[in-house]
Amino acid sequence: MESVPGLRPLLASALAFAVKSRDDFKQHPEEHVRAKLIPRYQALVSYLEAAGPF
Amino acid sequence: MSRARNRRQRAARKAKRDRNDELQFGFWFVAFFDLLGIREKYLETDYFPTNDEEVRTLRTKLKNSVGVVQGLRRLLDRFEAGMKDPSHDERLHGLPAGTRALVKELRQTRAIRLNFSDAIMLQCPLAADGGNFPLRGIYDALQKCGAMMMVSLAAGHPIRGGLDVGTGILDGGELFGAAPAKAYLLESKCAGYPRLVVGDTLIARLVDAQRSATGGVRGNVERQIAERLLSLLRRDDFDQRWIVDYAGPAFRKGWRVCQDSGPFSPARSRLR
Repeated sequence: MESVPGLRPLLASALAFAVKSRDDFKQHPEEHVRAKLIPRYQALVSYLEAAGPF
Repeated sequence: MSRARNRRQRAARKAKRDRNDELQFGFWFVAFFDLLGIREKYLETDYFPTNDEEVRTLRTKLKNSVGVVQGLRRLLDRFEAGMKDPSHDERLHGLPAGTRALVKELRQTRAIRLNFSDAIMLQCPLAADGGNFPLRGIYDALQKCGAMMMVSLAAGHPIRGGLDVGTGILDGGELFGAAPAKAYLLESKCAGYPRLVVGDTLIARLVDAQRSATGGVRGNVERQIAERLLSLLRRDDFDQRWIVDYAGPAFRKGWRVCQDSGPFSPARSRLR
């Protein structure tokens, strides 16, 4: 993946946010929320990771 | 008396016909996106403060709700201003006058932006008449959506959106009909998490534009823009829906030229 210096910190920050959101949902007390949102935010994490390396 | 009434009725019918002529029914591209979680934050501000502590708390909550919405709008304002920067025309110097005129014609759109609360809707008609090159309108909207997705995620205030083509009618500057409804449904029922979901009708339109572009300079430009638009999209591994590939190679290549302008420079200073 080509590197665009100005975008690198944005992508890294976006990935950090996605990882934190996914991990926050892992701690959610309601099972149906965990079951619904963890796979979706994992998909977001995977998508942004694929845009790396940062 | 009866003759006067008939005249009035004829005048009323003519006025209605004239009004209908002004209504623009046709195909429209619509992109709809909104900030996630802002409505809940708005509701946290639903009280009137009665002491200094409550005033301070309310101010913080307004900053985290209204302030975030206004921040996103300002970023989009800035991005749009960057896209319209007259310095882009410098690259046209040295081209034959006819080519310069064609390039300028192919940059024209009749795009409409609508802000309401925590949502933004970008609309452009697909009628290729004077002053409107539809593919350019879609291209501009896609760039804006991709940029807003990137900076909103990086700032920790993600957006979610839907983009599609459908029919609509413009009345008094407001778009009604299937096109905005389809974009809204994609955002609210299909997206499910921070991403920009693209409807099948838009994909079909772009594929058709790519295949059926006529010959000549204009046809070549149409085909190239359709190809470029398709390169900005991809299938999501999660559910195979089409999405805007805002972190993908085509977007990153396009943003290389504007990394020190547009929404990115202010966004970088706000990173969490």
